[in-house]
Amino acid sequence: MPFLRALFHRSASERDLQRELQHHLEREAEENRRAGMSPAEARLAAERAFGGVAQVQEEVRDAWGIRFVDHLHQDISYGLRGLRRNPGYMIVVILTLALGIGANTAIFSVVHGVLLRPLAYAQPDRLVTVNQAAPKVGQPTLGFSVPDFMDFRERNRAFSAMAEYHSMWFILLGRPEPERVQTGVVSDNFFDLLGVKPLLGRTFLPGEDKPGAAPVLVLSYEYWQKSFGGDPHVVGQSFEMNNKPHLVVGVLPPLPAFPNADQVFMPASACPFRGAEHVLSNRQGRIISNVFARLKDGVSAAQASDDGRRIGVELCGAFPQDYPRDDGYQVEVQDLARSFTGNARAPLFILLATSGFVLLIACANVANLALARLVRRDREIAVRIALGAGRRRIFRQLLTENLLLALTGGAAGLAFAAGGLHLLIAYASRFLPRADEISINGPVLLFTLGVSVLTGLLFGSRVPMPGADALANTLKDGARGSGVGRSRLRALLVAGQVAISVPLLAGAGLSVRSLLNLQRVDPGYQVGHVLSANLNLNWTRYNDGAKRLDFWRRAMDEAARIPAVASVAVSGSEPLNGLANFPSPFLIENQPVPAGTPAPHATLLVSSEDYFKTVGEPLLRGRSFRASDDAKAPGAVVINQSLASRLWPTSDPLGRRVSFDNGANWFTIVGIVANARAQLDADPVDEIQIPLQQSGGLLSGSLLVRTEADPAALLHDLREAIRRVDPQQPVTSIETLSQVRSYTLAPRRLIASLLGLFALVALVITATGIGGVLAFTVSQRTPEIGIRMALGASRSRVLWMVLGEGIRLVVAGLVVGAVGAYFLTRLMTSILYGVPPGDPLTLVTVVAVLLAVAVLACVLPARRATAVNPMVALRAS
Amino acid sequence: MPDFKSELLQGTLDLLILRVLAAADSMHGWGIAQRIQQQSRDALVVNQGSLYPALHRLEAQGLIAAEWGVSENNRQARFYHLTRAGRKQFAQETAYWERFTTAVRLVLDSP
Repeated sequence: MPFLRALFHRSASERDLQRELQHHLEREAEENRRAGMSPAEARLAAERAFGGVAQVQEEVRDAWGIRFVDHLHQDISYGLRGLRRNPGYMIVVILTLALGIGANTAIFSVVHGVLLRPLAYAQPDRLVTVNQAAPKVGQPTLGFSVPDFMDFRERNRAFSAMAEYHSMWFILLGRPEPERVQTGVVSDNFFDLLGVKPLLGRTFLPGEDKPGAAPVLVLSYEYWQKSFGGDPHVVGQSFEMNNKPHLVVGVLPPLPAFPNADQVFMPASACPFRGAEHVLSNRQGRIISNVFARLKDGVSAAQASDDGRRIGVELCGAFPQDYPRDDGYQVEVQDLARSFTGNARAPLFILLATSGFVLLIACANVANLALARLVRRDREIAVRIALGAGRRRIFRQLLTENLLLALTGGAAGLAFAAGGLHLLIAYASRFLPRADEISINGPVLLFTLGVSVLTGLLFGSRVPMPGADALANTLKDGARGSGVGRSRLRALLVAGQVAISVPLLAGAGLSVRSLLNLQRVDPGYQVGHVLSANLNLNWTRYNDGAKRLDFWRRAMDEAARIPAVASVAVSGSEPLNGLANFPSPFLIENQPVPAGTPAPHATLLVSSEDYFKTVGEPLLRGRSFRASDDAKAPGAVVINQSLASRLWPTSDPLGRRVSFDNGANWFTIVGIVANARAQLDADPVDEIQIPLQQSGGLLSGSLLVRTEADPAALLHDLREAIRRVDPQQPVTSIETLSQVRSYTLAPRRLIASLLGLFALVALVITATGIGGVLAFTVSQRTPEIGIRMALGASRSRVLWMVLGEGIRLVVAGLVVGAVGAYFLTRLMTSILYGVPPGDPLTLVTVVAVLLAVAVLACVLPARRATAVNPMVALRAS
Repeated sequence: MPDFKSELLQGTLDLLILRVLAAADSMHGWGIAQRIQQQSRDALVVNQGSLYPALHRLEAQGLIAAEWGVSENNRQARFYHLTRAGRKQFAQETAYWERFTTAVRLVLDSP
């Protein structure tokens, strides 16, 4: 770096100077001694004769003057002086850049925190997840049963370690209040595999996940801070969970909330579900939700995938019942980092690309402004060159000025980003697993600095210097700014801005249309006027089906007593909660499955009588559930339209019987309801509803009430009703169905608003760019226009001449941009809904809007051109 | 003229330095100052406060160059010599000075 070298040289030069002056003094003193003075006298006389050493040094330094640092200092102060003379220009440039750089900084900090930053685990690139899927029956993930997991652990050759994980809600007793804690249930090697060292105490020891091991707990950092105030003495304390004392053995460091935001962790053996006899031996009891593995040294991800597939084939062969090939059973091994951020990747990269485009447009605008300013400064520069300033020196000085602006813009952008980021994080944390890792940190600052410097170079480097003859011309009295080359460059910049704006606007348009499409989607429910309380029952208190049924029954009764409640129901799955479906296979009476095809699958849901009425799902045929559909009555189910038309396209499903346990129990289809969606952006799936009273009782479910009034007004009453049933039962969440629906659209709303915001910024910048260029052209051509008008050109002719020039540029940009947008929007296919990328209607609208804005931006300068007074214009030249 | 010693016309110091260096191979600062003083028969005393800035200014302009060497008393010293540009400049400045003094002389001598 020349700057550092200059500094270094400078200090060497200082030393040299000191030595040189020292030599002079000694020589002088020597002469004085020879003349007969004492050594002390001689020295003193020499110093007296010399005068102030410091002053001499200062003057010598002035004489040096020609060094980089001094030049830089000069350039900066010269630049500042120039900019201060032109505050309008300075403010516009800094604001434009601040918008562009701020947007990029904010989005990059999200991308960095969520996607780029290595996971907080040891060697995270060697970590993978293993997944069993059955895509043919719509199951992207089957989970693992305990026998599945054991088989994979024994049979694999690719992994140095494997660990299981699932998450449960348990009640923790021994605190002032019973606390519902989300509990990660894991293998004893889980934390060793990830490479997580405890903050306090220890993690799990080998053997602690074996049946019969004493239950232990490790607390998450967040839970420890929030519930225990970071008390280090919590290690060694014991708390009751699931009727057993659990000893806290350690506290974890802060970790990403993945796969879930678990508050405590326990070894597999401590989980009463995981330890149950029928789960341990059942190959289809797939309770384990995630399996993590660390690759052996030298094993690639591809080899691990092959190994996983091999095990899948072996299991299919050994247990054809449990791994049905017809369902498309397969094993997938995936990068951990990728499974972390699966859905967030595409939108984040789209946002990053978009903010990059906005910055490019901003750069083009600033470059145009800088060029216009340069034309006004032509004479100044010509005079300086004529007076002997080097061209390089002037170029460097202009570049310094631009970098100064870019860095200031960058600093302002950073302030913008810092101000807006917490809003972005607060919003994004609802659907991004690593949102709490987003911050403006070293790499982000470096990014901003890099972008700022690049920006300065980008808009500052295109400075065509006047040539020798141009110089002479410029110096002639009254000459206007030269530069045909420059005006071509300016035209190109404007056309480029327009071209880049098209895909930005198109992207925003498509994303907004997707959001609107989704908001218009009929979920199949009447979401207005329904309040939903989600409850997770304490497993130890409600340990059998009858107790659970009793709870729900009494809760419905209490809720029905609230005035203004029209109907009450219980459902195992809150409408529109957006959770993935888990279709289960079932048998149809007298309808055997042909060999080679998968068994029929449907998502099984549990609901009480009045459910369809409460959520407003229309009953198409037959009947809905009755209070009499209880455990003693014959099994009854209601299926949805989608399943009915798939399985019985020509015949009547009513009266048909289905079984979910290979024919041990049969349920008669008593009704058909209209389709409803669990996810707004996915088509309705095949569903079978089982009556609550024949379900064995829900451990977690939603208490739903429909009211004539504002459902939010019943929040307190509904909580009270639940408290009357069981004062110890916490309510997990309580919300209106309209809120639930709105939450599911939150990510898309965020993306659409950000893309829309960026597009708006791009539009404004581009419009000012077009207007600015045209206004400048008009001011440059005033004498020419004056001559035209003096020779008889009408005002409308002049207006059209100027407008035409502006619009020619815009149209060229629009054509290029439309073609670009057609292809670029394909990259956002995954985040669109109900509208194809390159949608002609959107593209045409965007082009029309841009054209309209561009014409508006052109009209003002064009009108100014018609206002030219020929006499004044000619006299002025 | 009691103050004559301390007053050196602006710009003349540069010329004197060039003149001294034109006659010598290379010289250090103290030597240059001594030489000017000797050759003017002590009429011109070079103020060190302006000598060194002048030397460094000439060096920065590329008229003289410097390197470290050993002085007559066996000490490290910075020795200056004329560059090609310095030689040219010296010739020009001498010619200019001649013209200038001649002109001044003519005016002073005119009746």
